[in-house]
Amino acid sequence: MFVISRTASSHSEASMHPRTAPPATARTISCDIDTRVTAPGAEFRLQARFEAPGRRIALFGPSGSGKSLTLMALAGLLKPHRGRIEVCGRTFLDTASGVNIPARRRNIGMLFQDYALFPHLTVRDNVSFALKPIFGPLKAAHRERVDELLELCGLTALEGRRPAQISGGQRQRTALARALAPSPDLLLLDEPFTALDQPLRERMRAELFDILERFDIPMVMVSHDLEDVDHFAQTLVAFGHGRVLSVIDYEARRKSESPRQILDPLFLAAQTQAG
Amino acid sequence: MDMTFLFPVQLSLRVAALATLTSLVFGVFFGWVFHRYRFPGKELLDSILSLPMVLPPTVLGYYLIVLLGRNGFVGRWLESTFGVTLIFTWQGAVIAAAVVSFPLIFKSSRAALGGVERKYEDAARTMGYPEWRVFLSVCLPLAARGILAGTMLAFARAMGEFGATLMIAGNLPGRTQTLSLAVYSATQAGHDDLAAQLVLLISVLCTLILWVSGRLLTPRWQA
Repeated sequence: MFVISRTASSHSEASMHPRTAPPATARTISCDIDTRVTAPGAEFRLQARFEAPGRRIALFGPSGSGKSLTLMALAGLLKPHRGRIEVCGRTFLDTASGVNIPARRRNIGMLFQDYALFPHLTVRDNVSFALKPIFGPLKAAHRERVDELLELCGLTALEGRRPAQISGGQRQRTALARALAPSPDLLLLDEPFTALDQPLRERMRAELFDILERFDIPMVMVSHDLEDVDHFAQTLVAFGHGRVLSVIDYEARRKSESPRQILDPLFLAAQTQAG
Repeated sequence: MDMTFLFPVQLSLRVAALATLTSLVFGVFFGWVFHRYRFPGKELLDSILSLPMVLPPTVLGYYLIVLLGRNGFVGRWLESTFGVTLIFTWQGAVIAAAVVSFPLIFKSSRAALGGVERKYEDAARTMGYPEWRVFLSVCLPLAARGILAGTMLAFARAMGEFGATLMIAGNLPGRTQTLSLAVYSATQAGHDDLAAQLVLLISVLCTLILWVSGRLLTPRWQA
């Protein structure tokens, strides 16, 4: 019913840098970065090194463990001082050879923690944002795609409202539709449910994963929540103190173990291991 | 109504509008540069660009004469290349008013753009927007209110410009005599009626302009 096509990007540079569709086997994210992030009064060293196969990868760890920064680096919104990032066969970053594909050319969709919906645009304009040409209205095919996404996310009736006029759950679905509109090669989810309170949180989790099920997109989710991880992860990358502690085939281990049996030791390790 | 009354009014409106437009372009541009980039001497340059706000207008007038006058660095170049002189012309008054009102827009633009959260810019970047489109589609609309407030102040400042205008454009009735100069001349010459009329008209006009632009341009989503 819903046709997911790799729609040609509306940006002129797309034609200059044709994207090759990765073979199904190349769905691996390999990341080896080393960087320092300075905030007022603090410095954080991130050394994230992992190679994760699978279509649903969860970056798991307590807050301040470096998982969100790693996600930013994958998106191209943070430039590590040193390192290499390869996603589904494409090299996004290789400081040794001076490669750093800017965020706008990575074709990665991102669902921000508090959604980052444009407050000055309507739900519809938020969803069509990535497809909007420099001048004039959307192409007919793009308008159709936006219509379908609004429909799929149950936003059709709200398309004229602004983010301030809709509920938290509706905002999240708007952000999801917005991220999916340009047919990204990879979807990044940054703590997608922390902005919601319980009951709603559980319903949204079911809804979100239900929508994502229909899209054949590899995903990386950052979370410190057991339930989120358990619902989502095939592969688990555990973070602690700015380092990757381990990469776990979650789906395989889950057959014989409970989520707590797998995740509790990781949490403990992240908290005890100093420096 | 005779021209001694109407001319200064229309000249002032024209000068103030053009000056505000000029300082809007430059003010937003520099506000963006200061928001976006880090470079050595940034805060020193900020102070220099903000000087017109604190310096006495006559001092600015002096600088402008040194720069744009017949023997000035820019003035000589303008005259030899284009045959243009700015001293004692209404265009000179536009420049004086633009320089004086520039810091108001520059300062408010810098603050307003600095107040736009980075996540909005990042969201646009992940959706394929190059930096100039991020600026036009995200930063500018989100900073619009602050920039607008600065623009209205700049317009008011340009309307009231006196000292620098007097020094660079003179006080030539029917040519460069703006309203504030006309009020001064009328009072000096004892034409109290004319002065009162001018003062009343300009007060009403300015109130109207500020009120209407405030209503029209306030982004609806913030209301």
